[in-house]
This record gives sequence, C-alpha cells and structure tokens, in this order.
Amino acid sequence: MNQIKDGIEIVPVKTRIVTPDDDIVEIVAEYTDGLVGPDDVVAVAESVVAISQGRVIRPEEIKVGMIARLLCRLVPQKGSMSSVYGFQTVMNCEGTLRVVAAMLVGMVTKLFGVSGVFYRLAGEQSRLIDDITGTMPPFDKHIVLGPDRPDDVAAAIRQRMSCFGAAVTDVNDLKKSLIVGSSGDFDREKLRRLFIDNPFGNDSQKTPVCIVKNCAQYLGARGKMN
Amino acid sequence: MTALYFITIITWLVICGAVIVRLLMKWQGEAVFVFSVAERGPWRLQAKDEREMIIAAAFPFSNQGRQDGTLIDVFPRVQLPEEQYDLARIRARLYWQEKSRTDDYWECFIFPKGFRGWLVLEITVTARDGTLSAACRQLPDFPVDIYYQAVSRTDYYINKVRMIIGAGDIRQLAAGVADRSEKQ
Repeated sequence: MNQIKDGIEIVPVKTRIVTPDDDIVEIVAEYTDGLVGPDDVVAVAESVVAISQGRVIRPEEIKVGMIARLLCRLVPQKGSMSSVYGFQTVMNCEGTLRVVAAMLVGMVTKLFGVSGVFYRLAGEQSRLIDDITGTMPPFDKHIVLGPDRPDDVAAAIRQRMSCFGAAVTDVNDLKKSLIVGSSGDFDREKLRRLFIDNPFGNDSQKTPVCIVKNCAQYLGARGKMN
Repeated sequence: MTALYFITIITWLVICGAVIVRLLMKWQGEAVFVFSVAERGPWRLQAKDEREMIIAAAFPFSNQGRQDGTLIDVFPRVQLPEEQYDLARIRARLYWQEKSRTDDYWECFIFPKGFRGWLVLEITVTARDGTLSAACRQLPDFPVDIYYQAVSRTDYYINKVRMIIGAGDIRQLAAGVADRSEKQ
C-alpha cells in the first residue's frame, strides 16, 4: 500500500526473493520497470543489498573466540552484538583490537552518562550487522553484514533508473531509519525522516524497494553528491 | 623491580577481570527452552480421505531461563522405519501455533525469558496400499523426536525431545472415531 508522508507518496515495490546470486541493480530495474520517474528517489533496504553481495554468514561457519564469548555479555540483549556470533563477526570485520578498545572506552564513557560511544568507535559493521532473526527468511538463520560500498550501489541504481536519486537505507519498526548510502543532490536528513514509519513493511510483505515519488523539489538540492 | 611490579599489576587486573566476567555470566544466565511434550493436547483430525489423514496436537514450550533465546530451527522426525512397518507412510511437521504455516520451514524467533507458547505437531498417515484403516490396524506406538537448534548468550546447541504417539489414537481417528480426550 502506498504511503503519504509529508505530502510525498512512497510506493513499496514487491520483489521475488533476493539471493547472493543476484545483481541488486538488475532486481531494482526489473521490478520497478515503468514506475520510476525523473523526479523520484529509489530506496533499497540495506540488508537486501548485503544479501545480493553475499555478505551473509551462517553461525555454524563462525569460529568463536574467548574474547567474543566474554564481551558479548556486556552488550544489552536486544543488540545484534549480544550473541557470540554477532560479536565475533564484527571483530572479524573491524578488527579485534578496535572492537575491544571501543568496548573499554564505551564502558568508561558510559560511567559518565555518555552512551553510544562503543558503536561509534567499533566501526560501521557494529551498527549495521543483523544477527540471527534480523532478516527475512531464509536469511533469518544467517548473520547479515552491512552492505559493501553502499554509495556505489546507490549511484549504480540511480544511473540505471535515470532518476533524481537513490539510497540504501536501514529502516526498522522502532522508528529508526538511516541512510547508509546515497547518490544524488538531495537532503539526506529529509529522506531519512520520510522512512521513519518503515514503508518497506515487514518481511512477509517482501517489499525491499521503495520509490519516493516526485520528491525532487521536497528533498531540495542539498547534501552529498555522487 | 619496576617491570616485575607492572607485570604483577597487569596479571592481577586480568585475573580480576576474568573473575568479574565469569560472575557476570553466572548472574546473567542463559535461555532454557523446555518442550513439555507430556502436556500434549488431544489429537484433532485436520483432513481425511480413504487413503490419508492428517492429525495435529499442540503441546506447550517455554523459555524458563534468565535470558532471551532464539530457536533457530525446530523439526520433528518420525522414528518408525519402513523395515518394521511398511503398511503406512508416516510423516510429521511442526510449527509455532501463533505463526502457523503450510510449509516445513521454521522461521527464527527470539523468545523472551518467561515466554510460554504452543507448538503444533502435525502427523500425516498415508496408506501405502489399501485403505487407511487397514493400514493402521497393526500400527505400533512410535516415537517422534523433536530436534531444536537454540542460541542465546553462548554457542548454539542442538537438542531433542521425544514424544510417543499412541497407535490407539491413530487407529481410532483412522476408523473415524474421535480421540477420547477430544470428546471431553
């Protein structure tokens, strides 16, 4: 169902299941054929981009070390790094020393009432990783990393669709949204706010692509340009 | 002297840190999944024809631990080999009652500490030859093992529980008589 947010229409697009064998640009082109105009922004869920890049790993394939076993205990239960597998995967991506140092600094700053330092210091994957259950079936049994070169992916989608802009987004039902990568001369913060209500829907709706219709004027000519 | 002093301090810090984390792990605990197969409800007939019937029964499961836990996979396996009984083919599937589905896929879910819900075990009995009631006439009691892969704060583990399926229940339903416990 289309959503209207701040007068802008957002059209969720249903696709088939995306796998590591797929090219996300081709998937977007196939399922948005005839729907995208020159003033539109095409947004793709970051987890689906990551899946198409093969950035998925089963817990059975992860060799867990003692540090992950100990330190994951210090992460609140709801976090993707609260499991030994999530924590170990982030250490594998960002480096053990960096994550351990970030944890130590984060603990100290938390004593002074400053939270979120760990995730800022531990690297991008600590913020983007989805633990088991974090992604739609059949990837719910996998750990899904954040996408690789999301700005480049957005640029490729924008070029292929000849649209105003493109973005790779991390959106959930907890009123949190993040523009992970983008291409186009627009205000990323305005686009981020449009996605607060998660127009991508839940997993069973299978709508990992959204078209923000005729938003060029609304989003304005600010922000980063790729 | 100074080097020895620092080595001693660092050693003690490491030991103290390890003890604190071990105590934290002990205090935090783990998710503990309990599949209460003994509390199974009555078998209910889902579908039936001359050759095949599908029956289902629910049983409770819970997370009795001190942490949220994830059931990565849950599936049943019928332990009735055809060498021992080849008059009927018996298959099973299982799903969470709140998220019933028509396929054999188990979707991962996080079950918070204190959670209590119901799983549904569905059994399909198919006569290999002849009628269903004839195929079930000599059926023995047989076990169904329910395997589950779970994870919480430590490494994932795979465990199983066993439910015994009473041949009497199957025969009654195959003959068109409702489960006695269902009538009550």
